[in-house]
Amino acid sequence: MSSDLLELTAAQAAGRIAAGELSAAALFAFYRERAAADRAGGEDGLNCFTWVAEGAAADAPAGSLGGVPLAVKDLFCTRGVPSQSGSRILEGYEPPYTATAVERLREAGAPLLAKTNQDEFAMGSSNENSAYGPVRNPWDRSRVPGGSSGGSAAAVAAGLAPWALGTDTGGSIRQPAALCGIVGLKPTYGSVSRYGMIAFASSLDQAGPLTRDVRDAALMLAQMVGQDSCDATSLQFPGEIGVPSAERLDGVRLGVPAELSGEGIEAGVKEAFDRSLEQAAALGAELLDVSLPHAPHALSAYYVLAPAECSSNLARFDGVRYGIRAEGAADLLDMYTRTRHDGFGPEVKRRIMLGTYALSSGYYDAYYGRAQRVRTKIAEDFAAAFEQVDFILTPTAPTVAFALGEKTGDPLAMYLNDYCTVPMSLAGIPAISIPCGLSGGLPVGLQLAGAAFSENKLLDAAHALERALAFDGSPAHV
Amino acid sequence: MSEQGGELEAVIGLEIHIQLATATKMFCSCALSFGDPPNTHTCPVCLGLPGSLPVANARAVHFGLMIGLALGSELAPRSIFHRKNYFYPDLPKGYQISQYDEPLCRGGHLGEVRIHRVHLEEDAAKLTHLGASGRIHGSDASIVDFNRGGTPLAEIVTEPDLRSAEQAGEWLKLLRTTMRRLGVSDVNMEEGSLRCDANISLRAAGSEQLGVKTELKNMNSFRFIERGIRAEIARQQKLIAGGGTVTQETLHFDPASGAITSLRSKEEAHD
Repeated sequence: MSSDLLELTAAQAAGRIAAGELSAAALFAFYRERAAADRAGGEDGLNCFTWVAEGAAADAPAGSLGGVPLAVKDLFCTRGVPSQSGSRILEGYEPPYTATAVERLREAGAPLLAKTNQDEFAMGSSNENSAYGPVRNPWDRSRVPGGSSGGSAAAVAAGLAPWALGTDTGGSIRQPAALCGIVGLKPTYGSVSRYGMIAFASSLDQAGPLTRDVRDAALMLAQMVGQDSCDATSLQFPGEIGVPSAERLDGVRLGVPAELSGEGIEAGVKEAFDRSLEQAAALGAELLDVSLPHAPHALSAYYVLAPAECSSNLARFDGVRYGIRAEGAADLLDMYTRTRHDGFGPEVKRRIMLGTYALSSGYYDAYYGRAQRVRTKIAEDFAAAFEQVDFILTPTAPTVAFALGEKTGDPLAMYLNDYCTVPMSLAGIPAISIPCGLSGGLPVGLQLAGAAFSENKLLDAAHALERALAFDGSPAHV
Repeated sequence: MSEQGGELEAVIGLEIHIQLATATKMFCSCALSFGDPPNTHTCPVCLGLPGSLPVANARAVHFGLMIGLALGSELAPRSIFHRKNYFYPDLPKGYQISQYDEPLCRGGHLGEVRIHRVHLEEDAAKLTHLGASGRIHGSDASIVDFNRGGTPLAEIVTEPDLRSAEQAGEWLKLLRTTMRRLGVSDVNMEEGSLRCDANISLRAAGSEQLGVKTELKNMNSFRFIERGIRAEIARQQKLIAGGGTVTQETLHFDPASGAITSLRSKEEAHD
């Protein structure tokens, strides 16, 4: 029974529950035990979770998701459950309300199984910036799972959760999905409410699914999208998210931008990417060269914009109302300084300092204003490319999973992980990563990006490729 | 007039904060209140809890536009909110949502006085400092009441067109009547729904140049406003007559003693 349950995708499990062949309670208990074992495992576990449900699901309303339990990234506020955004400054913080995306999924029948580990405030590409310890990659425990949604990705890859909710600001769903050999989707900016997501960079943050296959991603996304009166930047998604079923790519035009698929891409990743292109052609797709001339500047613009926004968004963590407060301060300023000194980790402090500098009087236009103009150019590049092609294909990450500790001393090397994913974030367009093969025994991700609100077509194309690529998603150790 | 002190004339501009008479706060659905038990009108948004987001109150925007129409302002076709970042315990997000370079209304006039701009923002929470000092420095403890936090405010900024304390008082009464007739605010100074700061400088009568100004903060009655402006004009005249120069600073008028004191920089930062 157990190994049988592990084989099921979320959609298959929901189907069995609906058919009366499986009880939702049994499925929840099965995953709860696996997650709890990982959490109790200490060094032997993967450290995917910051909290695991203690008993049966509080309630699992019947819905189209049929009771399939959900792992949720720590930064989503969940009422009465620790929501710490991977930071010590929010240690033990239990919000009085639940994020809209989590609430919608719960109402659709996905009860909360666990909260997943992440880089602090979603700042990182390796999950090594968590105050709750690094997450290990189930494909190789000495390697990182990617980040910042590293706990969500590793949990799904290791079969510790059927599926998980993450967030993506510059690649934080897609890159860990790639490094863990699963599917990760960043939807169009504004299609999923950000209410209740502890903000990193408000103009970029988007919630999205991390799943075993493309169909599961569509199933979860269908229940998340939609306007929310609590998020003024949320939009009514045009139409419903359907179940992807395409098996061919006849007539589909796929663009390959030289800027994001050549220089800096590891040989093994490049080989897997090229094989994927051959598969796409075999499915009937037309492959075209496209140019995104400003894409090489995306990372520079991103590392002005995202820190600028975070420096303002993280100002509220001042020790006055919630989270930790430093004891023994001499006065108000001393209390602020000590609380933030003790509560934030080094990467968060680095970005707050960068952002505060970029926004400071006299520098605003030279840094923030200029980065915004680069962002507009990048969005225009994509718009021009989508006149010629339906989707853009790139490797998701330039490398496979790297060793724990390998890049922690070199922030710039770490930032390069997001080289291929940041341009789509700046343009606000949807992008999905699907596993497309192995390099040295480690998964490689293929990224497909489409125009805003093209999720249905994007999921269909990803589905066809997924079928043809036939990636074996079981890490050797599970 | 005494404050014209012979060859010097006073140049005065006002910044008026008007609490809008909406049912709910600027960016959340908590009810506005006055005198209710502390922290009984709060929610994740006006407490600045992690993950919460602001949604602008449509009625407050409507009231802001009505003010602009009444003052003959140009209404912005596109207006945006900005964050004014500073740390203070009455500001739960670490920034105030206000407007900067694209305010709701620009220009206009009321009577002889030209309007510079009208913009919308949210009020801070109410701080009470326990202990003898009555200020945050040296207090035993400070307690925060978030009922007021997030109250919608319209800030009306005039051009420096006023020339005396009396004229400023008269004009402010005209503004109060106008706002009351519009029905956008209670404009009650005792309850803080009308608050006024004054920018004051002196210059040679007839000159087009502006002198160095000081800002007199938060005067909470019409009588205090006139007395405060008069006192500050007298202070500047005395300073200049003694061969000194006015330095740009933010000042507090104490109506009990009639004294004018400089606000410390940390408190000044929060205006």
